[in-house]
Amino acid sequence: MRRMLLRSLFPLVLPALAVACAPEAEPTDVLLVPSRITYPSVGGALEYRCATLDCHGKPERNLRLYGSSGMRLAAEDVPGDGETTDAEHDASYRSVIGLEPEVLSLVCAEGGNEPERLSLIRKARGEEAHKGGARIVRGDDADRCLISWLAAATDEAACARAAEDQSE
Amino acid sequence: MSTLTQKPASRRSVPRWSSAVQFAGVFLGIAGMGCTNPLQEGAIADLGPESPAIPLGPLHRPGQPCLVCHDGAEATELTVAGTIYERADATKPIPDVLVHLVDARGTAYVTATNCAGNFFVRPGDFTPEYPMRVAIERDGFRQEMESPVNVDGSCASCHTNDPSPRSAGRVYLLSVAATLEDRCP
Repeated sequence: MRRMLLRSLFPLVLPALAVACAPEAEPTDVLLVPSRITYPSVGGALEYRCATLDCHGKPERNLRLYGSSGMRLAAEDVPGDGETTDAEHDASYRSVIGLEPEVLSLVCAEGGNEPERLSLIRKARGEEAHKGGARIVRGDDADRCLISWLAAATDEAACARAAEDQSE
Repeated sequence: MSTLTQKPASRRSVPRWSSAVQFAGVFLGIAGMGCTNPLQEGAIADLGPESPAIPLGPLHRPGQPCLVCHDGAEATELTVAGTIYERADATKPIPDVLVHLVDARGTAYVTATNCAGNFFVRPGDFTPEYPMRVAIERDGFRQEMESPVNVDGSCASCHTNDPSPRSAGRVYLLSVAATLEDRCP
């Protein structure tokens, strides 16, 4: 009796398994990222807040940030000397966009909506465990700079003020 | 015909406290193993041995990252500590340098270097809320650190002896030709 039941169910089980394992939709191979061109303004706002040698200016960090006052990219450069180079901005930019690429793409696709989906934002605001604590405050210049960049409308004035404010 | 009768072995009477002590021993042993920090142990080993010429104390290990050991477990807890040299390219330490620390709350604290160029701050005196700004001065010469300290109170974690892409080099006071009075034996 049991064998008959199994035999009759078998043709149904295989298609059901196949459906359960199939992807719901083909994954897209294009991930959206914020602008590389305006990143230096954002990097300037983050430099003293995040990229110091005792924080994300360490190669051990998974968010690795370079800057003239922190970790340098070229072997002949030292912290505190010269300006942040384009190659350093490029390396930092790749660190930022490489942290959570899928979530970042979603945030960018939705015009920067709900940026707190990103660890970058939650940790910087101190809303998630972060050894450096809250380094930006929701709504302050550094926060506006970062959020506007994610929304593809970089608030250059806020970024400039944030970079200047941290130098005091 | 004889039969051998065997008395059932009586259970050894073991006091209850004995098994409790054994359990506590095993627990403490496991907990002890779990509490070791291989990263810290490695960092301490990397510092090398003490100099036989300098006793343990405020003058020892100049130029090393103090808080690797001074965490309250390995050695007396310190919150900020480091060594200040006369020049970037010289190993001569300078005493009596005032070290000005201002934390995120705006709380200011001042301490000074000793004859090894070392300074240190105990938590009861000042525990900074980061970021913390640092400036040093003596005899009219002053240096201000460009970037803030964000998490690490050991100067030498970032200021290693040799400048590199990861280090600005030693903390030093003089960047111009000048001579400071030698106040140490």
